[in-house]
Amino acid sequence: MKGNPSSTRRGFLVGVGAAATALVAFTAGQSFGLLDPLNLFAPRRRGGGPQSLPVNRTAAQAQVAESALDPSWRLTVSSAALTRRFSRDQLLGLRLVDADLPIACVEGWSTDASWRGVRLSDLLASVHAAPDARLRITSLEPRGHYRVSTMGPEFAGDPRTLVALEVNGEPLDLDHGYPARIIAPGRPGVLQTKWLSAIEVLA
Amino acid sequence: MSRTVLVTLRVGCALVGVSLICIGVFFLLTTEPPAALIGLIVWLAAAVVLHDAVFAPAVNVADRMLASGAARLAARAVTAVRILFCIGLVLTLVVGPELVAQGRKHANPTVLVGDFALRLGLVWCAIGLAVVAIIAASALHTRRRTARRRSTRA
Repeated sequence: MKGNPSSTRRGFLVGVGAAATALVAFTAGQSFGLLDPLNLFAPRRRGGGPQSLPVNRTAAQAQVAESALDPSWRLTVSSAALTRRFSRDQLLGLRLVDADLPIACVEGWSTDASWRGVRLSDLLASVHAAPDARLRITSLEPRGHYRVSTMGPEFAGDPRTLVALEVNGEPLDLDHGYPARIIAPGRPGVLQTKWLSAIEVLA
Repeated sequence: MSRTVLVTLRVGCALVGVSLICIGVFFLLTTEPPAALIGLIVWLAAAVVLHDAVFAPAVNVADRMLASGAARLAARAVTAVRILFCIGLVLTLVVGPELVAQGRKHANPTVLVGDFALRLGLVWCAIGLAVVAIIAASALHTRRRTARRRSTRA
């Protein structure tokens, strides 16, 4: 480009800034309400998906549609001392609490939702486990990187960490983890395990 | 700003940057398994190859084309046109993979729901119109200035 070096450098910086601004303006609307009207190119729409919540991995993709809807489904909660199995109705009969927490996905979107479910620490207490236990959480998914995950005591002991049964006032949609899923504050979306199968206390 | 202050600021910035890099490398090496580190090295090497073998030559060719096509334009207008193309290219780089993914069969109906091709087309149309407007305004400005100079000389 012709012109003196400082104008070239300034042009370059303005160009990079303008391109970055345009990119943010046209994509960040999938997470920020303010930019929602400008969301031309983000892969997701804010409030899209069942129950106004986006879905990263559907029940069909995870191959859980059948096992998640099976009436014989039970959530196994086990510690060294005791193992208990809960049906969804039994979980609904326990003390339910509310928590407003976001799903913050590592793919770059984030959406707030109102969750209702059983406090994880209450379930741990039911098998005589300490609330600051380390846990292994398993999904019904037959395979997948996040079928099994571990959860540290910082999550298990938090009163807002739930085994969620409802979202935004309705029973969890199958694609959001029906019959039960984990929702914890400050945990990456892929580790908010859907279609729960077992919660084990690790020694 | 005096030269001493400037040098101090630069050295300070460099020290902060190098310290942050060291912290990052420390946590990278102490928290990630070897397989992830190898994956990271491959990814970074591919990024360098992609930059040097594809992006840099492509930008160079585009730059030469723009320079030869805009030889008579004012430097400010050329910069503006360049910035507009830069915006269009960055958006295209992001939308391109989305278009490829839309073309493939995928099982999640909540993603990739927009008409990205049409929107990208409209953005390029807007960029095209803006470029035409800038060139026209620049040409008009140059002609007026030349005419003014001629009339002053006469």
